Amino acid sequence: MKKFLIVALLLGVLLIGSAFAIRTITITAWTVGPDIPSVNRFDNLTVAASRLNLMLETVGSDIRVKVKGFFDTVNWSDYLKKVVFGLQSGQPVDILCTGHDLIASWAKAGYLIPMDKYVKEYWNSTYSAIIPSLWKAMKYNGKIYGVPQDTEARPVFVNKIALRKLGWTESQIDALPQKVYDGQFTLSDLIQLGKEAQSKGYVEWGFYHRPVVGVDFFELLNDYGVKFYDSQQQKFIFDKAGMKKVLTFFYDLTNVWKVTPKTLTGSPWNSIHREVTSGKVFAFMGGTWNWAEWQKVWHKTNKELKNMFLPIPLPAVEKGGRPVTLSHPFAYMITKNSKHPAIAALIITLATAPDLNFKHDLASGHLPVAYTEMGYPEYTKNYIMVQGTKMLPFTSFVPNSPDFGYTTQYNAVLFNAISAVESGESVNSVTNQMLARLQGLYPGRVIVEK
Amino acid sequence: MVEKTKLRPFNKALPWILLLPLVILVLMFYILPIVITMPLSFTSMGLSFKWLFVGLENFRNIPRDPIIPQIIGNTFIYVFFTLIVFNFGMAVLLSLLTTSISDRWGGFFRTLWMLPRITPSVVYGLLWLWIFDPSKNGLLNIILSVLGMPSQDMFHHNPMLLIVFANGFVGASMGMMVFSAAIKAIPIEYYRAAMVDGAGWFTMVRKITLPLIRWHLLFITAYETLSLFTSYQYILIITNGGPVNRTNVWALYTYQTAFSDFKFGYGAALSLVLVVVGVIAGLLYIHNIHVESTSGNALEI
Repeated sequence: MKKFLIVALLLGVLLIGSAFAIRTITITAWTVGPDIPSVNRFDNLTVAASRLNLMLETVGSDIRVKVKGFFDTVNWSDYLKKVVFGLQSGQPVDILCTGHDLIASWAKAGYLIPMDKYVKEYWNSTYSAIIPSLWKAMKYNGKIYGVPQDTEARPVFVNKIALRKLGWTESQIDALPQKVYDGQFTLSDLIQLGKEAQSKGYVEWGFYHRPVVGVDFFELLNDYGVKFYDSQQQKFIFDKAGMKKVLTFFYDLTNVWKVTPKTLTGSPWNSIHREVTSGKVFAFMGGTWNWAEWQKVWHKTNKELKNMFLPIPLPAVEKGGRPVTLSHPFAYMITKNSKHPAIAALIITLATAPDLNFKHDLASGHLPVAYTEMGYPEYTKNYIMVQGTKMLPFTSFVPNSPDFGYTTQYNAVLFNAISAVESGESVNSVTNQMLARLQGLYPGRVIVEK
Repeated sequence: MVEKTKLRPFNKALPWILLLPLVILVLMFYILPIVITMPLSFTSMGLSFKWLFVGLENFRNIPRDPIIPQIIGNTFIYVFFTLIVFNFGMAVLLSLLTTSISDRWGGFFRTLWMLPRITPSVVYGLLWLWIFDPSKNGLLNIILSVLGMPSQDMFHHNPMLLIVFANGFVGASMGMMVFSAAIKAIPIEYYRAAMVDGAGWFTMVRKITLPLIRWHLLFITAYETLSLFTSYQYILIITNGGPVNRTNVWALYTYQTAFSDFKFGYGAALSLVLVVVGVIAGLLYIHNIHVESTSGNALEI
């Protein structure tokens, strides 16, 4: 009898327990920095899941959502390999967060699902606040495949300490950005100023750019007005004369003006940041996120950075021309492997809440993607955000085409050419090599303009 | 008698049973990839992983690819110089020298040369990156600056030399070990007889050592040639084929095409070329080694 009672009790507990059992749905998110301060790209998704769970609990639902996955800080190439082979091997990945320029190739390959219906569903509550121009970067073949997560500008950081040593007054320094916006201060002026600061021993080098392959170099193509892609025909344009001008600029940096070390390309990022933040460089082509990196990783205070750097867009080549910058918006995407795309979309929508995105922007030096983020008092107080936002009217995006988005294709060909001319190879020879390489990579798809 | 009869089929099968794990491994990791690569090389498989057959298109594209002449030239320079200078030349020299001194010191130097081989590839590659870092933070440049000498930039001025050295320092140890073992197996009486006849060290090396280890010399040459043709890991870590493809070799280009550009079809075609070259070279070497090993080892002192 006693035994029977115990068994009955256990069965009862089991039945009651199963009636109230909570079903947990796991959403897997693979995100990338690679800059460390951008960790909120992943963390915001977990916060979104907590908020969703609170809502589910409130309405008495037996479903809970858990977000797992990773935030990759190694490099782009590794992340891309993980995604490509992970998705193809059937890994249950729901959400990806990476640069918009991957949308076209991944959507074409069938890795992503269109998000139009989710964007429409949550338009009034969330997505109507997104800056409209960013949606253009989220589309492929007329469909939305991503939700903007952040954006940025790529300022040139000018060394204010060196400017002061050159005799510039504070008001002259403060007036410089406007001169750049008005096209009165050109790229050549910047280089000459760097050369002067270098020759007088105020800095060791006049001009630094990124040392590895990346989209930043498209800025120079845009600055020189060199067209490199025809999105309609999905063909590359090789403007031989224009490309020679761009390559000549890089050749001159190291071989004629000698404001950039020949050893810059291939140097480790740490060396670059160490030298820039210690005031040894006059001008550095960086990005707004560097501001956060220099605070978090290089232990500079905001005050120190404001005292040391003046962010300006890349000055125009010709007097009276437009300066340029480049944005590379990040996007949350949903993969074809997702078993719960609706829940993934809900998590993304909740992670797009202005407070969460703004927290990410503040921590990582990125710029808001929604007007609602700009309402925070911290926004107007944040120097780099305000300066970066001013540059956005002068920005452009990497083409949304399957031909872009990989560090080893067009970007790599351009970077290799830059690296070659900086090391002293002739511009003519490198231009021809570059054309040959592109023709090899994209047979019949390179339009040559002489 | 009955017992022996019962055991006979088992005895016959025993070698196959013992060989089975190895046969499975060879089939899985050597034969199967070639079998998969063959049909893959006739497709335009890319990011979508679809088997879209394009006939011989990928093979026709190889000679049209403008980078190919440079890749072939680089591969030849890389294989030839790494092999001749280090994997063969340095290995012979080290084995001759370390077997000519006491076992204790010989063993010490051989162990020293083994260090690069037992160091993980990534660590070894990163060490080279640090040593030859063209900025003033590189080890070599720190030393040069202390000596008041101008800094070097091997990465841009002599990248292939850097690659040959980096690979060579690892590669020399394999030949060194094989040759040292072979030299130690030569009966000491040969040398004593030669010394009685007044032969010096060079004469003994030329007339006794080298003829008696020629099979090993040929084997290492064959083995290292094929290894070098397919190796790229140190190049990937140190220069990734740059600057501007100046250190890009066939194996690395194949890897980049398949796993960075995600052009699996074209990458497979490139790797199949490597397989064909490897098989032909292997067959030629096997033929020569066979002829050499059966032709006897006549000594002329």
